[in-house]
Amino acid sequence: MTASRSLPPPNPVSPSGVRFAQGQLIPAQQPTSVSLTKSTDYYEQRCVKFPQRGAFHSYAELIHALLLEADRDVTSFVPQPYQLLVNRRFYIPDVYAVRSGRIQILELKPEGKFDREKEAMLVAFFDQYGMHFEVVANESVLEQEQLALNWLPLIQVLAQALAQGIDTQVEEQRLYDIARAQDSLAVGDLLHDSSRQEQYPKELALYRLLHRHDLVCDLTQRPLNYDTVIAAWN
Amino acid sequence: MEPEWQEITNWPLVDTQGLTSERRRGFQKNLRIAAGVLEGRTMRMVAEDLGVSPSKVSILMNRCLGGADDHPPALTRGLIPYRQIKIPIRNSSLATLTQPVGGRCAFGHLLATVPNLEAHLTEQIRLAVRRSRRGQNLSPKALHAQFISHLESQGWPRDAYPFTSVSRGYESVRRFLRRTKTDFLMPRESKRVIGARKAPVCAFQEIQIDEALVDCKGAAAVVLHNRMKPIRLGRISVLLARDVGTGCYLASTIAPTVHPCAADILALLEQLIQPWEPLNLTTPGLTYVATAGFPSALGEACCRPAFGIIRLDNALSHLSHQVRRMVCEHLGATCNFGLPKTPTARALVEQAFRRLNIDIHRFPSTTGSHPADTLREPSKLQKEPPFISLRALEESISVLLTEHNHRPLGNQGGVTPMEQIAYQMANHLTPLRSGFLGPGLKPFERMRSATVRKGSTAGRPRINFEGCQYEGAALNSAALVGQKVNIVLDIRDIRYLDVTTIEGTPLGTVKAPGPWLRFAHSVSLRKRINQMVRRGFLSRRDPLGGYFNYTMAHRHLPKEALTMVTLSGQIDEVNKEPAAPYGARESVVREAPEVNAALKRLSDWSPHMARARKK
Repeated sequence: MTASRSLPPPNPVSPSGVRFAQGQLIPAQQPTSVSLTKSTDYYEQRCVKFPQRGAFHSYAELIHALLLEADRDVTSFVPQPYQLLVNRRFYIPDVYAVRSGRIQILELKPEGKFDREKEAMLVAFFDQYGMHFEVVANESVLEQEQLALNWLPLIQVLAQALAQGIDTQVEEQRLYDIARAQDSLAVGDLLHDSSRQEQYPKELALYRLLHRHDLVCDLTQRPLNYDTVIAAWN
Repeated sequence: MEPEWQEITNWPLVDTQGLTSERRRGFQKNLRIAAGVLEGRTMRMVAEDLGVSPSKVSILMNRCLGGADDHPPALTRGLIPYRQIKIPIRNSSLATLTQPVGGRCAFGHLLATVPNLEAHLTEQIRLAVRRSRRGQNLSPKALHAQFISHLESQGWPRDAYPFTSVSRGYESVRRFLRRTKTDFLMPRESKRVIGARKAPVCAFQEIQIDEALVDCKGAAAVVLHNRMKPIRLGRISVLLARDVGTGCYLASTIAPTVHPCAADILALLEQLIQPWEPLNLTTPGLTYVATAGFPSALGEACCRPAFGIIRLDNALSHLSHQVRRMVCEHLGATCNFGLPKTPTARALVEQAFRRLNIDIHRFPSTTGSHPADTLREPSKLQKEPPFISLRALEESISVLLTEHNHRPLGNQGGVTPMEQIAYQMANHLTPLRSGFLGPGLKPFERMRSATVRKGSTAGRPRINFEGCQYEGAALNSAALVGQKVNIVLDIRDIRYLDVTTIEGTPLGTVKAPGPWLRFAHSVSLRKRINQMVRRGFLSRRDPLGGYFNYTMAHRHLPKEALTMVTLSGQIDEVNKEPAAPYGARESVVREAPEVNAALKRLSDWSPHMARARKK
């Protein structure tokens, strides 16, 4: 008697050969194996819009995550969000981002080169869940490298404060009121009346206002400094 | 035509000094023709003024501004007489036996018309250049044979070129081989972007961490049977953190091992946020520079900057979850494990080790940079222990590293790294992180789950951990027997474990059996001792004492001698604290006060004692 083997039933919603490997729609960062960690330019960092340790498999992915943090339209993101089976091969997209209420699944590739057939299948697959699959060129991300690197220390401080639950609501309101009363002012004018160690809550409040875009400043060329001009968002 | 080409002055400059006088004259005349046409005069007028035919003007302008859409125009190059502008192609058919014609551009024509010929020849050359297993060491003769073979396989007529020529296109194949091979061997810039493309300039923006073996062997004095005996020790490792923006050394630690573990990396990371304290220098002639030190000695702000990206290589000890947790959660930084076999990605810290070893190589017991190094300790000296002690070596490294921070650097504009950091901290808004490490496990702590067990016979509840049964009042509850609990351990010292319920309610502390309580030992040391116990090298009754005796017996091996000295240091630490002694002490005498006092009470060995014993 031969042993009978039954094939798993086909997924009714994915006739294209793409399906979730774990059958879940909620994005959750997929673990990175040690071998992949060793074979890639691997970065790990706590973020604010993704309040866990994010795993980034290239420098471009890290820069992209920092740009998402700096983008006022992005409310949250998840790196390595799903494990998919595309034509029976495992595939993990790079980022799941919520931008202006629109869900984007992003794949970062050098020069934006990605398998056309695979891309078409993924676009069709995610489209049925109301998500939009896009391929982003590493080069377009790295064009804004300086902006991302200028945001990096602010994101690090904010992520650590978020994990430790440090409250700065009073300071935030006070700084915002001062900034609103004037058209623009320098950061040094906001933080001038205390020593460096004592001004940590004030600095943290300032970073939170900048991250929420209640206050705005230009970080495209230079990092935040005492002479950086800030203004309240109107 | 691009708008800027309307002006002859916008055309690229050609240096005419390299042309012959005749060609230079022709070039100047052509330049006047082009300038005249671009001014808006008709071709006929320009031709009349300069004494040439209108067709000559038309041909010249076509030569300068015409061409294929996907190629830029020749512009000024087209004005040079007799300069070949277009890539030559063959327009006429190839020579046959009945219609012999010239062979100009015939090989190029073959490459363009015979299916896969160019791809086949290029692939053969690529395999040869890459030294592929499927390739061959190509010579022009071998490639020519491939060329002929491919033509025959494609059914190329035997009465057409190259079969009509005597050499059958050998010279063209040889030139094709040389050109393509040169092209493959050209250095190519990698498109992959690794790390920041702009070098960081701010303090603490990027930190590189690595470890390296110190190129020197030290010695230690062991007091055995009331006699001091020096022994040769194995090499130690130095772990270093260096700031990229300022070139400043931020912290360093010494690991008495060839392979530093995660605990050593954690110790280094802890040094980054602890105020630096100088060593108590005991070596004669060795002193710190007056203001020497690491930046953490500059003040609290320098102990809690937001460390940007901490770059490490992908050694397994770096990939430890505790290291990642320490970097990302306690320090709030970004950790990066670079690509394998790319040490140049962390060139600054590698340079620091090279610089350190320049001074370390002055010691006669140096191992040199490589096996053939002439500075290497000669074999005749290797039979005796070196003069430099481990303590002196550690102090030398500390002084050398801190001294670097007070040396003006050329790439910092003649400013010392410490001055640079102090200036940036005082005048720039370097973000500070929170002062405390946050909730949860401490850097050296690790959590595991275990089951509380109790045998059928009378006995206390216990937890099995790393081959030992831990007991304590925290487990003395019937409700806990058979239940899972969480244990929190310090990886440097596993004599005591904190126990909590699965929900996180603290229960108390449990301790290891008596023989394991004598001095602090790590998880890795416990594992090694247990392995030796299983093999029968050590007794189960007193494994720690047995292990110390084992290293004592094998002290002639530098590695074991180094382990013994490390253990002695840990035992001395315990001896400083009032701790109850357990069982019989080993016979090795250490530099502890009570042991030294006991030694003084013993009379020295003398021949008279031996003679008396014989009687």
